[in-house]
Amino acid sequence: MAEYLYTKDHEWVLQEGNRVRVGISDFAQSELGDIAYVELPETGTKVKQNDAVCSIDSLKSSSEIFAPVSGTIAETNEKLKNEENCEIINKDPLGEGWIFIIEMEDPSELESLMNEKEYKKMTEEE
Amino acid sequence: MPYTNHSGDDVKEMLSYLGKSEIKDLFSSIPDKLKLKKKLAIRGPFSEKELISAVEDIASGIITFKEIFCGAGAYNHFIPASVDEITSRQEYYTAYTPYQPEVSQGSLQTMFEYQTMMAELTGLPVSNASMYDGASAAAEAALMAFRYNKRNRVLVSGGIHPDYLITINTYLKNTGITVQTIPLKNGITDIDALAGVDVSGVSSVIIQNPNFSGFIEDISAIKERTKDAALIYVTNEALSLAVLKTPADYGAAICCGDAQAFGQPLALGGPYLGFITCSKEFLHLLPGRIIGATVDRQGRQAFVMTLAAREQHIRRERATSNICSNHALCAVRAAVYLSLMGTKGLQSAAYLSVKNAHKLYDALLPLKNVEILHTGAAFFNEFPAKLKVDKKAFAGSLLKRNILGPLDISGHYLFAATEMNSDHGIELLIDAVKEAAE
Amino acid sequence: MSEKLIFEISKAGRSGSFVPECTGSPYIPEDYSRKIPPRLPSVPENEVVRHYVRLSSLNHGLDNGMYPLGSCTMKFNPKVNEKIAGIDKFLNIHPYQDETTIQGALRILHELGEDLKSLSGMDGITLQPAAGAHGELTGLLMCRAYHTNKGNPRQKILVPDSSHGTNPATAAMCGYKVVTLHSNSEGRIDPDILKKNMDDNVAALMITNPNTLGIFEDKMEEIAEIVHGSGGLLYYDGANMNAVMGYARPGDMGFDMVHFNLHKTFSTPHGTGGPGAGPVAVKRDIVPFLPYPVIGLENNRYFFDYSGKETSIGKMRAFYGNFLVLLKAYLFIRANGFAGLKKVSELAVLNANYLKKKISHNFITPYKSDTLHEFVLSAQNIKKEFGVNTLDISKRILDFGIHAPTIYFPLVVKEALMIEPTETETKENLDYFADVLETIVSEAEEEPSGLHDAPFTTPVSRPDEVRANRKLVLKAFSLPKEEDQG
Repeated sequence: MAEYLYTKDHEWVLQEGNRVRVGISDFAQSELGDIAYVELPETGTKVKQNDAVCSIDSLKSSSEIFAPVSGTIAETNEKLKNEENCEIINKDPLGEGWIFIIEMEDPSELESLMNEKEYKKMTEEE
Repeated sequence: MPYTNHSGDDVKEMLSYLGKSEIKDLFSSIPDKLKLKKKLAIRGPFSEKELISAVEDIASGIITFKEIFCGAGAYNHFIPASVDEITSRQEYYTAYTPYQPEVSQGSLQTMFEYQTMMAELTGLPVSNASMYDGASAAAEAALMAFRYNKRNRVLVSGGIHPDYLITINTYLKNTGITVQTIPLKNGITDIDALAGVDVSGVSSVIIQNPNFSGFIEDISAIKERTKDAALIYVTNEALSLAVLKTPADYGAAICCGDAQAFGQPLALGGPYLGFITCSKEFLHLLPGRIIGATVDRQGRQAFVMTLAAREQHIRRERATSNICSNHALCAVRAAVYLSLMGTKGLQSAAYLSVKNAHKLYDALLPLKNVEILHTGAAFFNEFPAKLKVDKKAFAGSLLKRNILGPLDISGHYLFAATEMNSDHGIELLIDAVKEAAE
Repeated sequence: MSEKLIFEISKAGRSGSFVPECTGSPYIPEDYSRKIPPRLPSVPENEVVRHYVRLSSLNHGLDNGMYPLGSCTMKFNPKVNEKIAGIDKFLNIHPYQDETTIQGALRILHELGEDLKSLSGMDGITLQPAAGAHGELTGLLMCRAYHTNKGNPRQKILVPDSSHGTNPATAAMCGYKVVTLHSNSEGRIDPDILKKNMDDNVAALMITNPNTLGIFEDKMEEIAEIVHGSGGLLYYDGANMNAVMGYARPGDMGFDMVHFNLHKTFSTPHGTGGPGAGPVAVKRDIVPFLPYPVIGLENNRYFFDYSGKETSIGKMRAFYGNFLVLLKAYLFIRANGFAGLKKVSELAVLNANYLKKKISHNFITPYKSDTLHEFVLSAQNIKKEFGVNTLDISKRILDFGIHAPTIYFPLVVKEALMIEPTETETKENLDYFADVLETIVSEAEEEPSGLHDAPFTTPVSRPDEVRANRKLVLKAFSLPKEEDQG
């Protein structure tokens, strides 16, 4: 089973063949607080690693989500289109609260990401 | 020092508490070199009595008119006395933005009611809690559409108020968006001119209705030609919304403009009431405050500012706009005005305005020194006409009858009427036009 | 008890009588006519008045009690100004009246402009902007026009990390990138950090002085040298002008442009969020770019001066400005005169310093520097010790008839309380506020959990903001069209 990888911007990445599923970490959702809106990207959009893809708003903050790898937005979590469902990011950030899927251009980019242990260490230092 | 409240002893006591001997010691963090060494020539102080009489002297030469036939974005509509009564309550006019909802439910609920009324009038589901004025609201609307579809061309009807067009250009100058105007034909936006325009890649089409000359635009035809672009319906005579087909009926994505008509006095052009309403897809791109309903801890109805993450204090350089203070008290005036007038009162004011404008039109039509432009085109409460008059004589004829005449636009005049005009006023205006004939 | 919505007390057939009835028009073609009338309230005048009077009683206004909202300058709004702004000769003048019929109004605007120029040490002014943020936009558009005219619009605007959110938001609207400068341990701009970020692609540095912490940028001369040395402009956000009137002028500090917040410094009412006014004054080099028209005076005749049109940035709005607001600021200036305005700043600073000394032992003082008209404290100590945060404290303040200070701003201070008493509070009011904070801090020590439920005496308790954001209800009833859609 694939393991969760993380970016320094607090996104998680889960490889599914040539695609990766992306969301925000549990640490990120607890820092942001109650999520109220996700501006989902359009499918088919080409993104480069570290590009701002979309934004996610809580009641008192707004953050950008960056592409963990280069590729094409293949799917987005349609549930999040309804503000009422945004709580799934708070309740289940690593599961039901995923945000988009990228069809990868260069899977070797995954090597630049952190594993769970490294990420945990980073958040503890913050 | 009229509005400061300390006795000499207070100041002494407070200074000694702070371990300072003089007030100027509190300013020691300002380097001496930067300190102002001179007294500035600013007149005053005046006691309240002196202030009133000084201002009365200054105002004495100002002329206000019994009958006003000038509009062009600022209309002399009736304002019920209760509008002033309510908005002169300190609980409304001295409070600020409702940052603490627990002690601001009055402002918040009133703005929520205002949003509902604007949504009803425009047919669109979402309204913000106000903008500065119609021109800046139109510019912000163009920016909303740009953010929505990321296209960088805007088409603006040549029938828009000239100040609005200039403001749109001023706002958009550095955004990479190009503004192209669509010419007019027979007084309204020339649909055929659109045929030659490549409409793919157009972000928004901005149409004012009724347009600056008062004519009612054929918006269905424009929408048909520019299907893909966001239709921005602008009005500077919001009273027309009460009786004209709604922006939503035309498929407008955004409606904006000036609701000065709803209880704001003429006041030399401001403060007026900018407004924006939009379809749901544009909700998260709206600038400014939006009020939402919720409940408090006991489950009671309560209102708060919502979707704040769009705004500058949170999103900073990624905000939907830099707007912070809006024209909230003007929105309160509008809410009270619309509540008092009701649908019947508002529609009556609108129909009376139309009726008086057409009475005036009919009276001008047979005059030898009048050439009404684009006869036959449907207009709301304004219309353009050429006058063969001696300008100076015309000004004199109007002034002695206590009439504010039509706006002189190079080459023609723009006549406006509202429910405030009387038959007698129209007769006097006709006399003045005749008297000044060249 | 909550007040029903006006739509809920509406009943068909009820209404007041304000204009003669007119039920239709043969002049509006059927195709252009509204099909479904708007559902505006149908309520008799008496009940409309009662509804809004009852609603007003749910508000805390300035005349109810202290309103120490930092950075917003909530001072007494002189009643005489409201009275004068309500006379026929100011209310009922049309913006397109001939100049000869509105000389008095133009004189007021002109004199106000001259006074603001004099107070700020500037050479030209526009009265068009409708609010502070609108003034900022006007200023940065002029900044861009100035640089473009010199051949390069430049790319960046520098702002300190304590800046108001409107600064970066405005910069972005003008096509500029924003670079944030970290404040030093004194809460000031560090000239060395500024130097490192300064180059010939920086269009301007935007600052308030005193800054949002209430601290005066005492290295102003050096800052101005650095910015001007690279050809950049210095922008003064006048939000805190009320601290230095008669003591220092932005123009003498080296600033090239300044916007005023007339609803702050010059006491025009805040109106539950506006209208305000945000005139922008500029140095000689920027004058050609001012929005048109400006108010001119020649041979004792006041006029709208369009002569700058060719080089101007354009217009920021229709017509000329928020006249009634400008008028009230003019009246405030006249009532005070120069000596009075200086006194305004002196007593605003005295009150703030007095209050700060009275209450700061309860909190953390994040910066030791002297402050002027406002100050920022941190409740981080109370949060750590008792689990009571700034929000809890601010909510509890409401129970004592005082509006809460600005909270969680500026962003550089954790658990921030930003307090600005203004000059129009008495010593007794300041003492009362200090006592209230003392009480709340002891409550935090003794029964911290209770404070999470504050306030207790306000018309509503804490509203559910999560619900307000997720289950969006933005108007009273859904439109039929929307319901059709599902």
